[in-house]
Amino acid sequence: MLTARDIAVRFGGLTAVDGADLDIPDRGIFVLAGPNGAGKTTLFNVFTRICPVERGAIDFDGIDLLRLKGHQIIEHGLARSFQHAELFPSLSVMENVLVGLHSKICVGVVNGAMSLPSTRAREGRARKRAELLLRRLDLWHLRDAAPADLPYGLQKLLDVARALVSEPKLLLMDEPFAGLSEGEAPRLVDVIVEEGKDRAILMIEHHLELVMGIAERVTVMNFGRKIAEGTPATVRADPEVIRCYLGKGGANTVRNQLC
Amino acid sequence: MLATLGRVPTGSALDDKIADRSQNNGRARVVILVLGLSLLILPFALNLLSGQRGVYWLFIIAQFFTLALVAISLDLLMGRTGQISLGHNGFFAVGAYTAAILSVRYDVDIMTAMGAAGVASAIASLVLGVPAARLRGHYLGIVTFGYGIAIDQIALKWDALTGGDQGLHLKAPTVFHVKLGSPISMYFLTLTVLVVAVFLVWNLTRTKIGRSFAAVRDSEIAAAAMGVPIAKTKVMAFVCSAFLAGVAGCLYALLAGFIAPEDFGINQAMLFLAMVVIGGSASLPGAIGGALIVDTVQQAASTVSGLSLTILGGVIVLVTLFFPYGLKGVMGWLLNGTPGQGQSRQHLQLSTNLPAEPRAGGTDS
Repeated sequence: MLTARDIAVRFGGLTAVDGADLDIPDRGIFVLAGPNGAGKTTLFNVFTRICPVERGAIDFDGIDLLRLKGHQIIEHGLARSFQHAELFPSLSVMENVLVGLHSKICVGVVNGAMSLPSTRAREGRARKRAELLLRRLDLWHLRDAAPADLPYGLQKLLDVARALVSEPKLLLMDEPFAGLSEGEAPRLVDVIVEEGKDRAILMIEHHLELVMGIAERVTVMNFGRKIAEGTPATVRADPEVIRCYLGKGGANTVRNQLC
Repeated sequence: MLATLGRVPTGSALDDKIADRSQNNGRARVVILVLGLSLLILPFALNLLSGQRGVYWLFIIAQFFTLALVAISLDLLMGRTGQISLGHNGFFAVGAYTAAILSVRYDVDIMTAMGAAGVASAIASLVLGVPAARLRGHYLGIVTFGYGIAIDQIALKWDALTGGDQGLHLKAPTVFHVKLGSPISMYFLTLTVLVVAVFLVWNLTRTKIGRSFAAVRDSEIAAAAMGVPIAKTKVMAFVCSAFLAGVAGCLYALLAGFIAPEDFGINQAMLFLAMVVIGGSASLPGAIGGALIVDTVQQAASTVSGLSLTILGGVIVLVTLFFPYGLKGVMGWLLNGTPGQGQSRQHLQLSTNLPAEPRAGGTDS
């Protein structure tokens, strides 16, 4: 699905990503891990075309991703959710999800303002699609609520719904579990497992214990490079991973943290 | 935000809010119906009750409808899309002069004049579209401010076209060769245009275009990830807003019968801004209410020059300090007893969110 080769990103003198490779198959759940400053989010920002690359090539389902603009990638089946659930506070839950269908609704300013029957039909189809998803995620009764009125766990779920409604081939999730309570996390895990059956999901996550059971493969980065890759169990036991998480001598502590 | 809430939103406060909102919809329908009927009856009642004085009032009310149209236009841009414009006097002027020049030279129909005024203004806004797509917040404000001043100066200096400081006298407006100069016909003309504009903007906000405007205001980075082209959307908001402001300018010129550059100066830009600030953002009733307050103050204080701007300046300060959500917030307060809650998601907030800068790796946890 996604093949990234030799990606390098530099901010002034700082090399954030330094020749990273990444392969994501068509289906399954994949994790990008690593300590702070490892370049995980930067790599995400490269995939979502927020961040320009110094060198490298990315093939996404046969398309040269680096030739697309930031707002075009979702049309090609690449969507993302945000670490802090970047919702649109002035729109309702339903409208937030509908923005996720922006590129799928064909309505212009003039026919939109006139509310022509064709416009209403197109908007109606989009609403139907959003409704199905909201019902599936058990958010339908909240459709008219303001995102700010939802508990944080539901805000993050809504953020995921907004990314999912366009039925992307690859979903990028930036720390989906950050800030969630222990009560909230399982619901999101269920959604991720379910959605990972039909598509590829790549998520940034520090806490390997949360994704142990669901991730097919974990890629660990440090200082902009890939330092380990494999199943969660092998990666967790990798001495270099342990060293980069807590430094030399921290092996025991980190083992406790990761488990 | 703390994540201590449970899995399922069991809070009944949330359910109450949702219920409240649908109840408010019902009330709004009744209010609109009553308001519509009274606006239809008003001119005849005024005529019966106060005769010649009623004619004067019709003129004042028609002028208010024009201002309300500008308020809607500016609210679409500032309230909905979060793009500041201190240059709406420029769009207003382009519309007014287009109508006046067409009237003087070609004696055109009102419909043609309005269409041409809107289109001319929309085209003039494309000049601003380029900086609008690149600048944000106060920087955009400064550029638009300069734009408004420039248009005003062009109107003053290019006297071959605009009559310079002598201004332009319009011919009596006609619709399909029927003369339409009487106050009552102007009342219904401006009212009709205002109602149509409200209808169009209301529709627009409920389609993907309106949602993309709000998305750009709320979070450019999330909007782009959802497929909203940021620059194009901002330009589109400018063009839509300028079109309405141009039509309003045309109505203003038709009503006044005479326009001169002094009608479109900085004062005018500040009045327009005051309407949106007082009204509260992203709300059609708020914008119209803001226009009503500004126009009332202006009319009441019109005997002393400069007094209305002084009063409005004070009103803006007080509103910003005590009612940051404008009239819309006050209405929410009266209806629900909660000034901030529920309304808080739409206070006047400009799109000053940071550009989609790459976050360095250090912030990715």
